[in-house]
Amino acid sequence: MANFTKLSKLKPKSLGQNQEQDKHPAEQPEKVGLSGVPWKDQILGPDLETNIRQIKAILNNCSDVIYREFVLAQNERIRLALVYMDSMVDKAQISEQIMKTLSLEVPLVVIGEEITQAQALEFIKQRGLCIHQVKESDRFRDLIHAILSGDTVLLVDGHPTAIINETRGYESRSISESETEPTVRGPREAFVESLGVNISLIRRKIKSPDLKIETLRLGEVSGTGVALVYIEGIVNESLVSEVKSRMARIKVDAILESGYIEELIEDSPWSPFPTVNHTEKPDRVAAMMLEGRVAILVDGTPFVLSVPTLFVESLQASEDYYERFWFASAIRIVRFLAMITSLVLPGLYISLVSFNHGLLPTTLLLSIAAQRETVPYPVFIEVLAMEITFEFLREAGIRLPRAIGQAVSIVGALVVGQAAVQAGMVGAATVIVVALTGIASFVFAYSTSISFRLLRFALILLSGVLGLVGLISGVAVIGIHLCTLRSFGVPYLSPLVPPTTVDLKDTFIRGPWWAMLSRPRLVVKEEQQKQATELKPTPPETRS
Amino acid sequence: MRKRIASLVLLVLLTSLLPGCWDRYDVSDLAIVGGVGVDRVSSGRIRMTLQIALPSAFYGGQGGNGGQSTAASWVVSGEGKTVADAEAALEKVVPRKIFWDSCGILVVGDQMARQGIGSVTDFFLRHGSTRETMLVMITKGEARTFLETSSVLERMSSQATQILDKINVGYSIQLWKFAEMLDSKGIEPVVPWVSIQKAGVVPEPGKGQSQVEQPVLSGMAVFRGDKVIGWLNTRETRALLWLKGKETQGAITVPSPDGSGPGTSVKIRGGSAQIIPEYDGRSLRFQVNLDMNADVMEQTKNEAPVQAGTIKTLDTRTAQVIKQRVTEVLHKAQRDYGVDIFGFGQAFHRSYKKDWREMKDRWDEDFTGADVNIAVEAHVHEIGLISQGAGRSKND
Repeated sequence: MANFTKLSKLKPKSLGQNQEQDKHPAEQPEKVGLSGVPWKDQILGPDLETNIRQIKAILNNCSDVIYREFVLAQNERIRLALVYMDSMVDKAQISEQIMKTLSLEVPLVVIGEEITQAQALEFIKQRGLCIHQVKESDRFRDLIHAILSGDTVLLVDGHPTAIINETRGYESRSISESETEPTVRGPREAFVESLGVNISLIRRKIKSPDLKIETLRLGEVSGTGVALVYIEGIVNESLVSEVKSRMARIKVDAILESGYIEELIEDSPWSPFPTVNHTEKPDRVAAMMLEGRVAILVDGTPFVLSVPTLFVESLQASEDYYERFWFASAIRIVRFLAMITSLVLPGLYISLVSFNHGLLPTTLLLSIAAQRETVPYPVFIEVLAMEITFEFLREAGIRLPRAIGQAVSIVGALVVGQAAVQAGMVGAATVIVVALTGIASFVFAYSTSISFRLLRFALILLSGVLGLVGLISGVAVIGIHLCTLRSFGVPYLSPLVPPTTVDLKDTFIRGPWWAMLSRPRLVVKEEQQKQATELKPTPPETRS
Repeated sequence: MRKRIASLVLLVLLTSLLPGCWDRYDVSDLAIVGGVGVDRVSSGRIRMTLQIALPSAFYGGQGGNGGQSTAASWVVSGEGKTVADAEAALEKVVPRKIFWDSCGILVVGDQMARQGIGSVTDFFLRHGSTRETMLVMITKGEARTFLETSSVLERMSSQATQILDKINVGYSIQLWKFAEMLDSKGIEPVVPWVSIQKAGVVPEPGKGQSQVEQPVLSGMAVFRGDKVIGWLNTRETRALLWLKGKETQGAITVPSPDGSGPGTSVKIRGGSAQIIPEYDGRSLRFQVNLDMNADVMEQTKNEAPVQAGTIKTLDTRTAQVIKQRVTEVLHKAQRDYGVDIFGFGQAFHRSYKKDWREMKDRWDEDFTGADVNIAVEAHVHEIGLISQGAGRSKND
């Protein structure tokens, strides 16, 4: 009901305005302007009525636009008009800081003086507005954009210039804990959908004048705000210009998520591997930029892109850098093992069970043989079917409402794990292999694990046809492909290929902080020391 | 360009389907062999026996009714003129593909072994699917009977025998090593001699007891060429291992330092053996230096416990016993069998390359006549923390 009353409040006003337009169809300015110029390039005229009519024409049928005309308290002949989006602005701010001051309070400040129409604009800007950020513009393009972004446009009669007041105030999700990258230790906050908030989250991490934020607008229809963020002095200048030139190429109708940009700026669009990484954690973005990367923030999504991307990033989690290095290194190795497992285990199982039996210890071979006595299908079909079943379960778990997700996992575990094995339709070893593979694929970065999921099926096919020979040639092809990949000019497998010994300190292990002295050489393109050399803590020589 | 790539991808995908899973056998299509036996039957024909594992006996899950009562193996034989013939006969009987990789032992019956097992090793080395790491064993009687025995702790006799090998009670020979010894001069092969023994019972509630038969290691079979000519019992086998400097388990009992009681048991940990040949053109002598390490295992309560002072005496006594035992087996090899099973010939070859060239073909005679001097040094290391034998003070 509450919603309905709000709507009904809106309706008469906007309807009335539309009717007003309908009354003068002849006077209605064309969208393609008077002198044949498209409205985007048109500029304001001195007449208030004309300007309002022009805006109304452009924002035709936008029922949430509000036009509020009033006069300046100092001089009633000076007519003013506010144009803003009802749904995007902070209404209290407009009524308190703009309307109230201009229509009531100005005489309290400036007593006795008559403000002429010529002085009006300057006067209002200097003394009449209690708004923290105001801009001037005479272009309709800027005005419309400001209105659509939630700013308020103040038109002054007799002036071909408008004042744009920053009055944005719309509902957005508050900062909450990251759901895709949860951590045990480390900052928990994640980005939100608002670009401004996201920039503030980064700014709060890096309080340096070198942190540069360049914004641009992408999407012909959506006009989505996009920000390139980098740290000058660390980032390689040619990388910034490369990112800019790739972004400049983008001519699409809308950008609804950073994934759009990711696919439009990738180095190898056909590769299954992601050469543009994304994260929703500000601390991770800050760390990326400190290693010389460029972050791309997109309004409307909490996922921030960072380029260039290296393969080893899928082994790294922000938490690694907050835990002590022994543990972090051990976890890295675990992730690496999981990565290999998730890629090759089903293929290896098929090869060993249906081609290369001699590689299995006899006891294991006998145990597998016993389980498989009653299984109707060859192991290749069995593994394929189980992997697809697992994909069903996984997808169901993501898509279903959370409450039902529980039920799915229980049914899945019961049906697949218990019943199928007990009925002798699936070997227990196959269930173990598929489950292990599934768990392993959750251990390392999600974006890489998706590629591995796809490639796993290719390897299952190859193993089913050629056994270990197929599996190994498949892995070799993947390896070769990885070696050829580049992300914004940086070899994807670096620092492993080409080998950069110094940078191995942060790959399969995580070196202690006092030993990680330099930034990744291939990302910043030169040797960059990031900290003092003698940082290793030592106990004092003498005991007191 | 794109069309060309597409057709190339299609070509690769389709050709990968053409071989049609060549060489693919699901594990459930395999007859998993645990051990193989070869016998010569009375008619002069050769019989091959396979011990094929029954997988359900090895499955602990819900699908198999795993328990002691399940039969673990299927023993099946085939006969033929040659070993290969016998295998071909078996392939007709066994309804699955015979899987040789898991075959851990090759047992040869003594009937066959006395007439030479060269053809058997030749067959298995050429086979391609069998492993050269199979353990070669000789049994008195038929290999089939040996394989037909089940084992209690392990499910199959072939498995039990492989475990015997691991615990160092004897000296195991893998197929490749056996073939190598057959071909090289200066050492004759000795191969483990296994047999079936009655060993204990399995009490079953309500049913009484069932007698257990267990494969055991009985000693070594001594070869000349590829023919078995004699046997060494376990006592002699141990001495043989000492002489070869191999690690072995087992204790010997030596007279205790104070001379009382039945003696002190010491466990020989093994040690080093050095064979030094001396040859002046006519007479051949060998100096054998053994350096053995031992620990005190058991002392009966009447003896004075071994202490720092008496340990030297124990060393000497241990050395004496070892020397006596080694001399026994050496004499058996020299006088009874006349073959060099220790590798004296190899040691001689290393030192006298020129002389070896003329002696290698009559090495057995030379070895038999050679004078061997054995010097043993033993070191008892761990005498234990017990200074008074348990229970002694109570009785005194």
